[in-house]
Amino acid sequence: MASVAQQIDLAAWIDKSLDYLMSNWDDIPEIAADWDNWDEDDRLDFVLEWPLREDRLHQLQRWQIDGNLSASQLQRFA
Amino acid sequence: MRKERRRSGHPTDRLIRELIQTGRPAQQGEINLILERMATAPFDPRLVRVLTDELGLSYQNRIVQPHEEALYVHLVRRVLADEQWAFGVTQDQDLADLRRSIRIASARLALYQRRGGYIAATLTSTIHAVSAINRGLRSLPQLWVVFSADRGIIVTGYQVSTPGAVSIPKDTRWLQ
Repeated sequence: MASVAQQIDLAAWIDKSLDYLMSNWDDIPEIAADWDNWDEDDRLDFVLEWPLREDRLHQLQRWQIDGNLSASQLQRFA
Repeated sequence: MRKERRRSGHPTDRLIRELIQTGRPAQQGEINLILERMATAPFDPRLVRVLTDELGLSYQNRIVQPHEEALYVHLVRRVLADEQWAFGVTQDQDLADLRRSIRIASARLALYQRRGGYIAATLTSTIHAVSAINRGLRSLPQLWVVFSADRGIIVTGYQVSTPGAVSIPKDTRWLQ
């Protein structure tokens, strides 16, 4: 059974993960607008690192299924 | 129109491209050559663009600028944003961990194309490659290291929660 300290730690990480994903999501329009100015190496590198965001999203989905998200975190995640 | 890529003339980089283009089986000696090439290749030497939300972050007594050394940006992301590597890990330690992971006997080796670029990548158990002291609070079980056979450089490396999280094309070839 997770200790209180572990639960607090996970809650903080869930908040940070939500911030991270929302910030990345907010960046998309700017990146899309500038995409044609990026050289091909920059574009490829961005694509090669994209799975990090997807993996973070999948982790959030698993925490949601496990009931680890608070009401406010669920609201942000929805 | 997409600009024609400059391609590395290194024989092993050419071998990787040939294996992807032809789909022919690789011999064990060729697999060993590829792993050795990946493990000794430099990290991307370019100055790269930094994403807006990364500007102004501070790590190792340095503040992230709009264009930064690729390895420094890589380290900032893995330590500050992802917490996969521990706070305090240096660029040299980060790169050494990526190289160590490529050399681990159980490393899986994938070849594929992405956006027309030729890629070799390894997937390893993180705990075999990264010491406990270097692992961050959010370290994940698998370590993925990506090498560009066009540029002859390591492009990135990061930890993922499952092997399936690396998001590669369906026609990716796993050589081992």
